[in-house]
Amino acid sequence: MNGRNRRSNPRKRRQRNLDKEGRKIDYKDVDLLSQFITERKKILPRRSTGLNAKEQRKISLAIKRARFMALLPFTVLH
Amino acid sequence: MVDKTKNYETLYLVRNDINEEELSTIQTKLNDAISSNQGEIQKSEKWAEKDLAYPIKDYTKGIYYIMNYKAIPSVVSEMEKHLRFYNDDVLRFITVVTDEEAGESDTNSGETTNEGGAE
Repeated sequence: MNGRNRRSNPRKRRQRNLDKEGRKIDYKDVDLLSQFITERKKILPRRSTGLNAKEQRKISLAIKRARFMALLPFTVLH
Repeated sequence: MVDKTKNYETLYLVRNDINEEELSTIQTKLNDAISSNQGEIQKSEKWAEKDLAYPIKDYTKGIYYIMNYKAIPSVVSEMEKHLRFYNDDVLRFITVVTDEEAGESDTNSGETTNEGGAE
């Protein structure tokens, strides 16, 4: 029963659409990609990014490419 | 199957203390690989000199070079052969298809990777 009443407590879903913002998703765009990772450099989930499925996929792929090219870290070094 | 030309973008990362000669040898080989296969180079330039997000082979700085070209798919493997051969100097490289008209999902194909080596 716990998860059930989520709907009775409707939070505002903040949506974000990069296409409407006119911003292309590119793995070289570190500034853009940085908006979609956590402090610990993990990729944010859709519920936090508010992106649609298509854009979320592109962002996550772009982040992975950027990581490989050492433009973004995989993790914070300990 | 007829090989269709596509627009590609190759980004490669070289160590920051690479000597000029070595770099121009690599770049000549890359250019040759494209032009000798009727490819067309649109852009070839230095993209950025950056601190790496994590050290690769003990290098903390590197120089990124970018190439945009239109060519048949076999050119990509030819190019990457050269990049792989100079793996002392070339730390990473990636090739992506930049065409959009071929369905947006197609932008994702054609990705190839260098050796792992991430630390």
